[in-house]
Amino acid sequence: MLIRLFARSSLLANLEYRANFLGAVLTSGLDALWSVGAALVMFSHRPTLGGWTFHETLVVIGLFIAASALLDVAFQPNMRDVVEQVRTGAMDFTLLKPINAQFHATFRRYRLERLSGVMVGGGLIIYALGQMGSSPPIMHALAFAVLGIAGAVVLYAVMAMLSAIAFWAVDLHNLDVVVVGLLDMARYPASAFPEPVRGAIYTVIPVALITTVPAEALLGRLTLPAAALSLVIASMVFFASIAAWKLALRHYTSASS
Amino acid sequence: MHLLATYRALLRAYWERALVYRAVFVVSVMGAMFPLALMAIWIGMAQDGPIAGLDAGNFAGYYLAAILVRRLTGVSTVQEIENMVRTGSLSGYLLKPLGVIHHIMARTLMERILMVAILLTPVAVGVLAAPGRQFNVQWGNLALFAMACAIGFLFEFYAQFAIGGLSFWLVQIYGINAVFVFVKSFLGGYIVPLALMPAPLEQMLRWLPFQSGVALPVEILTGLAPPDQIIFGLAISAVWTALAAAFAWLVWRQGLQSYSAVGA
Repeated sequence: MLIRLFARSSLLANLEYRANFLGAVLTSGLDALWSVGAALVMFSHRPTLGGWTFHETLVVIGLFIAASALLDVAFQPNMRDVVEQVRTGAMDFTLLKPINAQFHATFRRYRLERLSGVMVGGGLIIYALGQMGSSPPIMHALAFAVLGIAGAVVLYAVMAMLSAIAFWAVDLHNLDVVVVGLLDMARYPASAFPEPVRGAIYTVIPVALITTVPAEALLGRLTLPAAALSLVIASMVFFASIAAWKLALRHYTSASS
Repeated sequence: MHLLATYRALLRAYWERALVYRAVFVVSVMGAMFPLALMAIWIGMAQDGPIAGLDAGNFAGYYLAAILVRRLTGVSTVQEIENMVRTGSLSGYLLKPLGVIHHIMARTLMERILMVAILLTPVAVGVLAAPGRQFNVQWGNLALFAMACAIGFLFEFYAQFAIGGLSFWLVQIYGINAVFVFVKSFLGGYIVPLALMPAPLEQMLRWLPFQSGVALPVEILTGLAPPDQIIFGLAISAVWTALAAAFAWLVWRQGLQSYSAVGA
């Protein structure tokens, strides 16, 4: 309910800058272009990448494009606001509102024009599935949907935890660079990375859950225990983000008092 | 002499400004680590044998050098220039004795010293940890490397200054800049070493200016480029840099005329 209200006010603000939409499409398109281009160069030297074929890899890239667009649509603008509000003391107003502070601070603002990236990423996945010549069975599609949502939750939680850092270190207006850097490890299948990086992106910084795991679900390569484990890790990360925000808010001393 | 003293004061002012924002710089080091993901993937692929003559150690050396070189040569001033032109804050700079280009140049130079100071240790540790000798640190080679970095920096500086100058006439220059950044990253060796590209494409890229930012300095530092390729690369990059400077000069001369004509 509140999210609809927040989205509506963001949409109204964005409509004033319609030309931004073209720029956003260009951003997603170029991001897809270089990811696919680099993959083409890799596959010109090797038949598979960590056991993934070219078209299977395209599914992961498509999910990556969609995930980074999601980051820009919903997570990054709010993260910037949190950093700015802690610095100026405007966080006071958020805390006074009769709703959960973490919810309000991290879901307030949207850059809806970047939804175009979700379309570019989705288009890439559909193209890849078409080239492989098989539409996934309903069970795989269902698992893909569930694990895709879990991936979005992981992305949200990583972002929320990092923005909690802003309560200690003031004026880190480019903190989102860190999230973008971490998400970059999700551009290609996790099995393409050598150990120990591979283990780390499943557990320590679980970015593999954002793209590789949903892609595996869609392609029917994911075992049931692995799927269950992914969901457990995703919920653990989510609750860790709530704990981090509680700790951060206790630490917050407003600018005025 | 007087001009030199003014420039020294300018550099010092921007150095102190960079120091004030050092927390921001530490975070942007995280952004500088971008090539590490691709490095890890190529190292993973090289486990089954060298790729186009490059082994795991070479990939480590290449991308570590790319991290350092990108911070030395990479310039991103279009947004700042566009902002100056759009809000009219450019007018204030026009009254100052040194042209606006010198202010932007001084700030860009000082920021890069701080960034490289932060990055030098982690990159050095990484290179020493990589198997084999990955950097050629003989004095002669380092001199060539410094020359390549200077040319690469100047090319990007003038290209950015020219694109920024287009905002005298155009509203949406971010799109143009996004395409420029994409082309220079992908075709300039920052994402994939040029040696791994299909041979005809690589041949063409050796004639284009985009290699000057990353590929050429990195290939010199890692000792991957043969001498004749280095000479040719430096020469062609110098020519392109001169062209970019001339274009930037032209854009700004015309642009400032139409700017003052508006009466801003």
